[in-house]
Amino acid sequence: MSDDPLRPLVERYLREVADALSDLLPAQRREILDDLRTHIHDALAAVPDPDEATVRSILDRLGTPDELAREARERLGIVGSAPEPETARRPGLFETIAVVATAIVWPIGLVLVWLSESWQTRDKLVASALPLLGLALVVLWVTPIRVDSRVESYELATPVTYSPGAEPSVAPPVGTPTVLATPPSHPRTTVERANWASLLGIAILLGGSFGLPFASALYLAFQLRRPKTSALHTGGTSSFTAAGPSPRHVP
Amino acid sequence: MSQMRRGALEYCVLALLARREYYGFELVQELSRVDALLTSEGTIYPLLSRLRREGLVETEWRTSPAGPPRKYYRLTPAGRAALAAFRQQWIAFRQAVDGLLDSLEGETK
Repeated sequence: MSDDPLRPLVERYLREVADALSDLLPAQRREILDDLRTHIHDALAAVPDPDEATVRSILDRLGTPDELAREARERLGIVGSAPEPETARRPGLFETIAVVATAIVWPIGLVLVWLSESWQTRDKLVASALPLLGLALVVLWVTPIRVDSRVESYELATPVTYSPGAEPSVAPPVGTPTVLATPPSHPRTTVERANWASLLGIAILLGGSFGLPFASALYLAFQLRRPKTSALHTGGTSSFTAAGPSPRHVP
Repeated sequence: MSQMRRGALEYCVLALLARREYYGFELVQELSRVDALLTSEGTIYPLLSRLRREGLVETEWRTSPAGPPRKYYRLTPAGRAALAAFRQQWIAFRQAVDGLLDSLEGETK
């Protein structure tokens, strides 16, 4: 065969095309590569005495690997076909403001989130649940502190008032020190407990009022981004309408 | 302009196949006779692949006198219908654009 010394040139071209088509389905890529190989074979056969210049001209006319890849993506609707990014990029300024507002003043942010159509109801529910959970934690934390202190004051009050009178059988000199002994130990533990409690309280207050709304905003931002990539795939396959100005099926 | 060319190209392929069956390289040669229709010859293959997937054309492998077997493309009934619809719309569209351009040209002269 006269085209044997020209083979490396062809093979290199096809390899480059294969690389450029790497995001196509394997079957589609193989089909296009086979078609190109047959085309090159036919084009060479049409010339009586092909040389390197002939091959280069044939490959030139076929187009650069990038050109072919772009066309293949648009025609076969894999990724990055023309109309898709526009529809996928629809979440814009409004959604950005909604996300930022959720992180800073979540009640306002969540109203904006619910007004937007860029999130699914499930996402909106999750995003709303997080700051509300934070609020619930804060409220639950703040109320028990009062209950606790009230309970403790009762505990302090009970032994002092009742134990001497309720247990008269116990000797008063023994009873008094125990009554005296309990109050000093009691405040000490409550002070320690109060230290831990205040640390935990700060954590819960900060987490509840800032951390969880921030997590909610992060979640919303993540959910905004995710449909963009999936839309490119599902929408991409049916996006061939971009190529033709008119419907191609007639009932 | 390139979008218009790409859109028209697929119906030119269907129109050629309405005449007879072609294999890839033959189609490219025919289309290359029309100026500016096929800027990169290789781009015809993704298009043919899609037309086949859409059921507008079908393919058949046939042995060639020399070399590997060739894939011939043939128009399906759906392809024929699509071509007929395009032809109708194209004529109306072309007349509308021509009419507008002509009337504006008469105005400016």
